[in-house]
Amino acid sequence: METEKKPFTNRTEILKTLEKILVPWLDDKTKPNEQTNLLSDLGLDSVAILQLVLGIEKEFSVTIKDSELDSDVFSKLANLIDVIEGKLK
Amino acid sequence: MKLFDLLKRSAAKFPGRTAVIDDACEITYAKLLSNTEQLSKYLKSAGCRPGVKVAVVLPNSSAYFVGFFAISACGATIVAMSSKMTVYEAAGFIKRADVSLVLTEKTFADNLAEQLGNKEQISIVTIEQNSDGVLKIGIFIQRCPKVDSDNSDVALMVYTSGTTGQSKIVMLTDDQLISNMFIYKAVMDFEMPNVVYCSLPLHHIYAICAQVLTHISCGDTFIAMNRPFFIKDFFKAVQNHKVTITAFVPYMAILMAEYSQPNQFDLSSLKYITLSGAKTPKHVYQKLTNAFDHIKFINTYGMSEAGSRISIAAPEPAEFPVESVGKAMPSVAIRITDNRGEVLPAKHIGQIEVKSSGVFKGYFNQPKLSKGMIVSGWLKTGDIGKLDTQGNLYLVGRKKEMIICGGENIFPAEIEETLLENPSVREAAIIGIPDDRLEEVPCAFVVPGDSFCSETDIINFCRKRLSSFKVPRKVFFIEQLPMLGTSKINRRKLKDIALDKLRIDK
Repeated sequence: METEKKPFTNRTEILKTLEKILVPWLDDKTKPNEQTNLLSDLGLDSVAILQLVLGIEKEFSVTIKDSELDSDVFSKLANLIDVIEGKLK
Repeated sequence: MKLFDLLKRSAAKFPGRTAVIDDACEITYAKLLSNTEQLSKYLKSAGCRPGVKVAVVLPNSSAYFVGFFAISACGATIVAMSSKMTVYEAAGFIKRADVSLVLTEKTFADNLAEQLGNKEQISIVTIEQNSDGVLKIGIFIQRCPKVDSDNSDVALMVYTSGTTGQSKIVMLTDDQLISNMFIYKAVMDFEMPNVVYCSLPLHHIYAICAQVLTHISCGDTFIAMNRPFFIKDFFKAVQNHKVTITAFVPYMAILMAEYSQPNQFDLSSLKYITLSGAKTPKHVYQKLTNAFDHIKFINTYGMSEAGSRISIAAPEPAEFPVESVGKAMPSVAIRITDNRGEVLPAKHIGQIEVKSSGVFKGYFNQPKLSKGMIVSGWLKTGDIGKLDTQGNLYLVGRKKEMIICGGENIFPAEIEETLLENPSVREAAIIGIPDDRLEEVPCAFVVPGDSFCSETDIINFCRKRLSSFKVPRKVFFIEQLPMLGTSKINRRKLKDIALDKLRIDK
């Protein structure tokens, strides 16, 4: 049975939801945008990446395979949004 | 012989060979040596000599190698620290290890100086290499270093768990590390030269011994990865750099075993993957050996206090049971003892004890504890295991309270102390709960104080102070912590409560 997907119609909405998932790794000053590097700007480590991916899968009702993930995906928030957008189409 | 001499010898033999490739640059053995000597010259002028403790707080990079060997070159003690530490954690550890000088990156230096304040007599020096491998030394704060003459023979200090309580600082000499490394190298009997993929943090004793010291002495090439581990990145690096060897902890092995399309990469260069840090599940090991039959997956077991490697499932053609971590390395003796210290026969479960030339000098500033760890030359590992009649060692569990999360060691006491700094927390206990990929994740039990706090408040409080793998995944509030006797928390009971609650939540 296909799980019901939330109506994320554009990148801005995806970014807004990602912002909520990323709250634990944001300090008071950081406002993420599509150019934010999750590895160098936010300092996400392997454990944080696993938690983030679980959060994305839950919030967007999608499944992301390890074969779809590498450091390029997390080097720009835009790349991660591309992956999610591709899943929601 | 110093650790630095391993580099010096290889640079003399293979000056033009690539030593390290990282995100910023690629340097040869000749360049690595000249940069190391340049930094060492500065460190000597700043008073670094035997008995002075110098911390290296750098990510996996060519700069890490320069820092590590430069400290050794001036005879000082290398204090290996995680570059993932928060400044709060780093400042605490620096004070506890009595560090005089910190080698780090510019961004970390700013925050660390602020956290340490003006009172501490600690120098901070930044190092970076540009894309041509030119070394730039930045003197941030310079003060006169302290000399610890009792420990002037210590080459390396690393933190570990011991059996209980807060992390301990293990002291190892050049002889202990080099003798263990040469035995390991002889057993592995590598085809050379190798290209080594370094994804494990280089402050880990496993990475220091099985990767840095071993392969520097072979004149091999390192691919230093300063980013979280992605299995796809690893496969790409194997293909692009013709990687021949790497070291994995179980969660990396699980990612490799689960990968759906490994055939899209050329992995033919890859010859060895050593497995350590914790026990790799049997089904994962079998899946890997079936799917990648040209790669040797080698189980090994070690600990900081033993100068690193203790047992290994090598060399071929001998066969080792899948569940075992191999046999004792040459010159290493293993025995199993019961609670009274009596030696147990084969197939009986008890504490693993080890005797070898690699066994550590002791814990820094804890002579009594160190004395209790080594009895008649036998190191009490705190790990539980058994030997079979062939001498193969099997790990059964840990006597320690340590939690292993994705290959990182977590010491409950450290998180508990952080929690107790929160005025809303009266008492706290940390336990590990099972996780499919990371093996274990920390979970907190909190006895609330007078003011209210939520699970999110507690987690956010920890996030600001602790590395992300140490932040409790779950917080349970409890009226009273169950105790064993008067002072010891009953962690077994807490684990049962947590597992019950999580089952109900599901």
